[in-house]
Amino acid sequence: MDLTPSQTVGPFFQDALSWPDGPFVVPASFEGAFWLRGVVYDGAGEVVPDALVESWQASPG
Amino acid sequence: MTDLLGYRRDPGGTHPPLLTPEYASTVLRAPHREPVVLAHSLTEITGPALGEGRVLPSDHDLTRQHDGEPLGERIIVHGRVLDSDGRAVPDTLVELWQANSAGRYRHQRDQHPAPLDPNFSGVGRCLTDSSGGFRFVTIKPGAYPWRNHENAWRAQHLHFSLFGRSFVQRLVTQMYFPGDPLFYQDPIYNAVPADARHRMICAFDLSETVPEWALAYRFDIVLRGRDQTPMES
Repeated sequence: MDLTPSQTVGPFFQDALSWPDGPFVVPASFEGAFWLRGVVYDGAGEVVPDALVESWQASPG
Repeated sequence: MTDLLGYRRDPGGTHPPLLTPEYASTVLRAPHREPVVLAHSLTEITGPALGEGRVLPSDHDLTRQHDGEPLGERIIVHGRVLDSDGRAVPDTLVELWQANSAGRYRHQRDQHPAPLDPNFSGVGRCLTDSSGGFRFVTIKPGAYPWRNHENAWRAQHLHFSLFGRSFVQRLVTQMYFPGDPLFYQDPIYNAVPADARHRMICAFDLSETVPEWALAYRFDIVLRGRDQTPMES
């Protein structure tokens, strides 16, 4: 079967794709928990204020 | 040592190029260099587990999230999530978001001077059933202007996000309605290679309409299928 094409997430996804616990892979009190922070820039060096960043990793152990 | 099945690469002619100058936002947001193709490992062929209780049975109905019903043409949008071998993708998260019937999103950055609807948030979720099926109840979104080019209007559309069963099946797309007169001037729709655009258009489905209540449209979504030969890990 032919694949469904992708389309831009668009500018108005926040309410749909953000979950209340979104930035927390583990609770802040979890042993060994750390913050991973960064900034998304566009090709002109301007910050992108509406980028969607998703992370995915194995559980510890 | 376990043999793992990876996923087939997307064939050319499926997705919009990351740089589509007619869609102005891509000019500064597309990579300058060619992507590096990586072999699939366990990270790519598994995906996040949603956990129990994250999606409520009522989350599929965007017309019943407030005290009153939203204004607009009530519609049912249903279909199946399949892989490219035709296999059902069960128990996968399908997320939907959209403008209201006046073409306005409930979002602080949407300044289109069309009314907000106090009875419409425009966000729904469901999990596919054992045959990959999903069903939403919502209202038909309005067309709306945007500033991409002179007198630019988006064709009417619903946004969809799917996780699939592995991270490489992740898909964000948009569903369009048959016969929209705005297709010809919508650079987001037209960024997809011409032969694949029809896959984003739902079909009117009389069999799923509810008499004296709602029209229905069918939209099947196809994600990447498995490789035929195992990879070694």
